[in-house]
Amino acid sequence: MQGSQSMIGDEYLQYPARKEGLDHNWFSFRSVKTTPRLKWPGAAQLALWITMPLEFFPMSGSNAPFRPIGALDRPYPDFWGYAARDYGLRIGVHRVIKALDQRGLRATAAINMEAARRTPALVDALAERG
Amino acid sequence: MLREPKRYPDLVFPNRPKISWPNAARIAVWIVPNIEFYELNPPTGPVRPAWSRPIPDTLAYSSRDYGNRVGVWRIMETLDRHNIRASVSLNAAVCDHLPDVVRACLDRGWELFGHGIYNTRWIYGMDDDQVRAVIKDCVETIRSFSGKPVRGWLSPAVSSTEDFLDLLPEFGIDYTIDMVHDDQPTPIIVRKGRLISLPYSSEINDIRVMGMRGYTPTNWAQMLKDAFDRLYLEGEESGTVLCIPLHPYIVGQPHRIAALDEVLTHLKSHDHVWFATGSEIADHYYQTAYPKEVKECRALSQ
Repeated sequence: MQGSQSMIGDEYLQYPARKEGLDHNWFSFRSVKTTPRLKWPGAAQLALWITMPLEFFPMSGSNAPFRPIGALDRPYPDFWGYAARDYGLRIGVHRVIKALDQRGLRATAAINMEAARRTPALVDALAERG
Repeated sequence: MLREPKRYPDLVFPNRPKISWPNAARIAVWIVPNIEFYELNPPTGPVRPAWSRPIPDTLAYSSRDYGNRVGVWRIMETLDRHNIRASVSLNAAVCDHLPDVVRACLDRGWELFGHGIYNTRWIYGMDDDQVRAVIKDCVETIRSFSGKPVRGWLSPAVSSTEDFLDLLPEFGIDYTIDMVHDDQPTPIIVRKGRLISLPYSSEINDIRVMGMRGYTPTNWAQMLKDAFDRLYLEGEESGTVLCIPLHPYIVGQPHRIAALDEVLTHLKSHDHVWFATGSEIADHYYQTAYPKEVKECRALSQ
């Protein structure tokens, strides 16, 4: 009886970051059991923030080496996909602003530079609201 | 490559031109069944095969065929009950293969507009003259069948070339639904002639909501009612458009058709609604808001 042929190298069986804590240095591990108590202003129990990404997807964008999240997915020239996303900056975002205004809420907008450049009136409207 | 379409103006909220529909309607509603013919054995174009499985894909082919054999008649009966006319996005070859289906649309006073020849022949990779040949064939086939001009266009399977919008007015087409950037008509910049965009929808399209994403008919009906309610509200300030795109092989299934009936009942229970065809909406827009908006549009194209 013959054994299986290996398709992987020996490094696959080596674990250089195998030690206590996480396997990177970006931040350390912390469990909810040992976390110091966090106190929000006014004895609030929950902090809520609303984020609103405002994005621009070029029709000529490349989906290599991978398709960016939310990017156009039809073959070039995808007028349809471009317009569907542009709808968000033309119409959708103004509905969100109205809904927040009615409830006295502010949001945090994460804006692609290109989207900001294209919508100065929108950027002003967001800045006015703080 | 084009980085962006640059085909329509940036109409900044809240300073948009006001649109007023006839009889003080707040919203124009138009129903767009896509009546399509998918070939069993189409050639493969430059993008990808028309069918996702090897030919002959009998399961997928027969499901589309079901739409024309059964589903479309359910849509007709449902719209008849509510006395609503549709505007058909029509593959011209349906006139050749299934004339009875097209005749039934004409008997109801429905509008027919162009959706290419077959839904399995896309315009990707064509030069302008090849695109012209497709538009001309489509427009002339439908016109000779119906005796009426073809005014609207949706490319088959929403395929496109950089210039196809410029070519539509050469054949008398003056509205396109190939872009979904707005809830109101907008001018479209073309080299010669005039063209506007009418609102269509990818978001509440039956094929996307129920066919691809798998939402239930109940979910879909609720989405349509919610979209209508919101546009009805906003239409108080400036007229809006709701388009209901339909595919006979999706919404025409027995478990889905009642959802359409429910939606139409909801729409009909409101007073300030204009049930129109694509050409009627286009005519009204051309006569009222278009002249002002096209000026801004031309400035953009400079």
